[in-house]
Amino acid sequence: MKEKDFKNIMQNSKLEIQFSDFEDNVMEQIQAKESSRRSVWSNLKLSWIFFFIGAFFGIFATQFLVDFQMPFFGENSKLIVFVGEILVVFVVASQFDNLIRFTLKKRE
Amino acid sequence: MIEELIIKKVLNGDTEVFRFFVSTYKDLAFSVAVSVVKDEFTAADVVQEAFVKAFENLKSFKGKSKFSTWFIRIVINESFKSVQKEKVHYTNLVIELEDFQKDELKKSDQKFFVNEVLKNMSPNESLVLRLFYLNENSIKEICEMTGWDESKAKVTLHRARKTMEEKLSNLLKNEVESLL
Repeated sequence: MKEKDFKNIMQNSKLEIQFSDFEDNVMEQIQAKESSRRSVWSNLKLSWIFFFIGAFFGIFATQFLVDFQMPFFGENSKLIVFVGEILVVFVVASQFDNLIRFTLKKRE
Repeated sequence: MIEELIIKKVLNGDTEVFRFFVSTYKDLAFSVAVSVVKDEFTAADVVQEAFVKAFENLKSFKGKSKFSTWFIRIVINESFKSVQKEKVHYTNLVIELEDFQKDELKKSDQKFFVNEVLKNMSPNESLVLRLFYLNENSIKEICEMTGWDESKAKVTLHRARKTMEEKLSNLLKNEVESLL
C-alpha cells in the first residue's frame, strides 16, 4: 500500500469527544483547583498573622509573670514561670518551623 | 504566538483563558488516549485528568517544544498510568462479517473498521500510527512525546503499519480496495 493511500486511510482514525459538557467539566475542575490554591494562600497569610500575635502575647505574658511573685503549693513561682517560658519557646519555635516549611512547599 | 500569550495570561491568574487549550486539543488528546486505553469513557477521564495536570504544571512549561508536544506527553503518561491501574486486556479482533454487504464501503464504515482495528492493536502501535499519520508529528516529536528513542519509534511505526495493513486486509478481504 502506498504511503499516501495509507495516510488517507488513517484520516478515518480521528476521533471526537462526544460528551457535550466535556469542556465545562474540565474548566469546572480547574476553577475548583484554582480556588483551593487561592484559599490556601489566604489561610497561610492569616496563620502568619496569628502566629506573630500569639508569639507576642506568649512572650509578653511570661515576661509579665516573672515580676509576679506568688507561692504555688509551696514552690517558688519562678520555677513555674520558667517552665512556662520553656513551653512558650518550644511552641513558638515548632510552629515557626512548620509555617516556614509549609510556606516554602506551597511556593514550589 | 497566541499560545505563549495565553500561557502568560493563565499564569497571571486568568484561569478562564485556559479553555482555549481545552477546545483546541481535546479531540487530538482523546484520539491519543483511546489509542492506549481502548475505551472511550476511560479515555475521556484520562484527557480530563491530563488537562488538569497541564494546568497545574503550566509553570514548568519552558517553551522549548510546542505546547501540543508537551501536552500530548502528559496525555500519553496518564493513559499508560490508567492502563496499569485498570489492567486492560487486548483481545483479538473478531468481527462477524455475515451481514457485511459486499458493496463499496460507506465513509462511516471505513471509519468504523479503521478504528476497530486500531482498538485491537497494541497501545504503542495504535499510538504511533495516530501521531505520525493523523497528527503528522515527526519522528523527533514522537520521541519527545513518548520518551522513546529514534530507533524504537521507527521500528514501532514500521511494525504498526504492517499490522494495520494485515488486519485490515484480513478483515475486509476483497473489500480492501474500496477503502482506497
